[in-house]
Amino acid sequence: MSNLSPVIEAKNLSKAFGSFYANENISFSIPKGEILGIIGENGAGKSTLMKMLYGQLRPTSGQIHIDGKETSLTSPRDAIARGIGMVHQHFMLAENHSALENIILALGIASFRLMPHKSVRKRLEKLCSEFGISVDLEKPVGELSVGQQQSIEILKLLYLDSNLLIFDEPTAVLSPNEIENFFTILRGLREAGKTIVVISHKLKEILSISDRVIVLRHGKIVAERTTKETNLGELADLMVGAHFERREVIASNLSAATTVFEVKDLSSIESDSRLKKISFRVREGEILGIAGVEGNGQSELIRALMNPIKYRAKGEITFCEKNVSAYSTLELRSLGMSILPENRIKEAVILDWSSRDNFLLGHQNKKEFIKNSWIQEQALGEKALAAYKEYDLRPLSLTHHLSEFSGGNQQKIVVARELWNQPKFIIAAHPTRGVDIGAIERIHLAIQDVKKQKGSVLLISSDLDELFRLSDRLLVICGGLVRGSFTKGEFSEEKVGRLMGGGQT
Amino acid sequence: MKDALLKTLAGLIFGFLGAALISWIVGESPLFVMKVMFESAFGSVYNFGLSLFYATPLIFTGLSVAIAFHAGLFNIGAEGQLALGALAATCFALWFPSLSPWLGIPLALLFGAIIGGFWGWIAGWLKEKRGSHEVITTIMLNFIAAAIVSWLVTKVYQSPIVQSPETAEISEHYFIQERDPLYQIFDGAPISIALLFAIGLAIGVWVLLFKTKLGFEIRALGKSESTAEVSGISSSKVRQIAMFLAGACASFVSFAEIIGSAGKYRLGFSPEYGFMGIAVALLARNNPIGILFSAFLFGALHKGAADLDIETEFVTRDLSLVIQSLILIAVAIAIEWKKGRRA
Repeated sequence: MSNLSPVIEAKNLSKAFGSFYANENISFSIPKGEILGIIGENGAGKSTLMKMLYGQLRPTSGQIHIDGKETSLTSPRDAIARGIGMVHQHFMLAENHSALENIILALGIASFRLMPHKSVRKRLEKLCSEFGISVDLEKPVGELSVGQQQSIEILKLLYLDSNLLIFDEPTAVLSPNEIENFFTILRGLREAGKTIVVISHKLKEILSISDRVIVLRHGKIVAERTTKETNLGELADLMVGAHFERREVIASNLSAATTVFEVKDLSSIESDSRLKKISFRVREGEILGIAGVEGNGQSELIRALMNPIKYRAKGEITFCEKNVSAYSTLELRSLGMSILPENRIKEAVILDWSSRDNFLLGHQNKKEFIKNSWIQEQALGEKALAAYKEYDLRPLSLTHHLSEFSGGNQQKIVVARELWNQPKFIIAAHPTRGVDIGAIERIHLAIQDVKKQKGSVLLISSDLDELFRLSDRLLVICGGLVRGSFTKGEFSEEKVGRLMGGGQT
Repeated sequence: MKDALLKTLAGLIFGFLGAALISWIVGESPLFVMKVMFESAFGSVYNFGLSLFYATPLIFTGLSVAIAFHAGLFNIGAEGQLALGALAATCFALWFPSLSPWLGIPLALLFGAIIGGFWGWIAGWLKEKRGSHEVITTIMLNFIAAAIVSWLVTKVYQSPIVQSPETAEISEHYFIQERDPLYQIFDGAPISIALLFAIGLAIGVWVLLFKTKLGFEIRALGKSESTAEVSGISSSKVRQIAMFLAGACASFVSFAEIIGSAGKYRLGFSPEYGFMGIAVALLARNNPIGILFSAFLFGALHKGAADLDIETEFVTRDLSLVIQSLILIAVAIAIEWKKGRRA
């Protein structure tokens, strides 16, 4: 399939910001009908490269050839007109509008013309059936699952006749099922002759979907491989630039340990009953994993556990031998609970505050930081800096705003803060979502350290690798019910996967 | 800080250029208009004192709006809070006319602050209990406050010796104008030590917001309610406290307007200080120290615009308001100006 002429070709592309080169002499070409994976750590220059291909940034030097002709892209509009489309990591959709309206919006039709619902719908339906995409065109986008939202983004590009589709971290927010579904769509697009670029740092996925892989490091291409001829280990080494060792995690012997946190028959009060009699306990020094496809009650469970007074549920929650079923977050935190919330940006940080001020969140009742209601700025700065140093935060700064850190470093800030002062119990929800490989290692290490210090962890994740690696025991939930439980050693992707999908063991 | 000052200066220059253009169009000498405005604000100690006098209530209402803003709330209700708070302070002075000034004035202000704060708190409480949006409730509370105040003034506390709707005069223990050091320094402009109190309050609010736990919680709530909640901050409690503080700040307008200058509560004494406070706070980006400057800018322009009407032939009252607003808009644009921002 690659004997065709290249659809797009980059020749010695460089992009400098001041004296810093985000991209240096990047050359590659993508033939029609190929899926190209581009991998690299955060800050390796993936985004810069994509922005140049999409017309958002202009190269400092070098050229882009489209269909053999040298082209200078000045804006995304320009790129779209030349058949280049991009699906951003964070979708560009108006949540109150339906898929149909979102796509009409993207067409940029002059404001006073009537909206051509009918004709657009006709063509969309045709595209849907052609590429095996199933999505409700009428529902407000905000009510659809993340996977469906992504499908809408893809439809948008197909409608605009894009031939080159660029995906930025497309699987970061998808559940395992949705990822499979997405890959099927991608393969269909390839069959139809579309050219696809997938940027990711999830090596496994790149290996399973791409035809060819380019590895970026420090703004340069360090390797190019045909996917069939490479493997996970080699790519990880190339990406990090050193031999990368994954530590084995040792399961603890817990049979005699005391129970720290217990949930009995937790059920939602509302009639939709997202939670149905969930019971479990977490023992001292144990990591209990909860696996499940997103939207099966995890969010409701997390809320009910971290703020029982506000998100009332039937059932009993016990923490440190106290019935905490009507406690507030503040009371739970002062008993020694910590929370790594599901949505980092919305629930864990304040983006336009400094990394120092963000460290105080959740600790605003601790004597170390507040004396007689005065903030102890010096102590706060020192303790935050020490904690950040331990997590190798980059840049190691107390004054940068959170928005100036990469996703991985933001999450390190949250982990450093929440694990400060050895909490007894941690709710860790998707602790490494959207985080690069180096930070994942660091965060996994930190979660294991909690265990070593006799802390307990409730790990909620949709990443089976992560769950299998860290958990001592694993519960699978589906439809708000606990479907099965496994102890370390019994984990298997088939069994867990089947339960997650609602099947039987 | 330096950046903000430079931007303000640039905004002023552009604003005055616009003002000059308007004056020239209507047939007034731009230079003369500038001269009138400058002299009216700074021309004499007395004029300067008047500018400060106009600025003082705006500091209080600006702070009121800013505190609420930091908690993520839009306080449109400073007008009602100041009306009730100021009347409460006046009533206190009427009830206990012979207390010594050192005791009476602080107590009157405190009582006013409690009533004004209570009025602000209602909006915070309603938001908590019923989820009512504070913009709606504070606007409605303004109407209720206005009605209560006019009933109390005309039916209960109406001074028997005058025709206009106003209370009796507060005793000289409270009405300190003759002994007020600022009144004397500024050549008889109605300015009072309320200005010093306002400056102190602005510093206090800044310290509260940026140095204390409560301020931290208020700001966290304002930036992200969900993050605040996960961090164990009670949004309900903090929101109600913030609205109480907002109402209390607004009530201190009574210090400048009643204790400091009028000596009695006149119905409708406030030319919508509460609403102007919104603009004052926004111009200062809700920074309490910045509010001191933006309130002064408003005060000085207010004074200048009033004199334009009198001193010039063609710049009418309405046109002078146009000029005033133009300058403020220019400053607002300049302060928000960011390098390299594209459409």
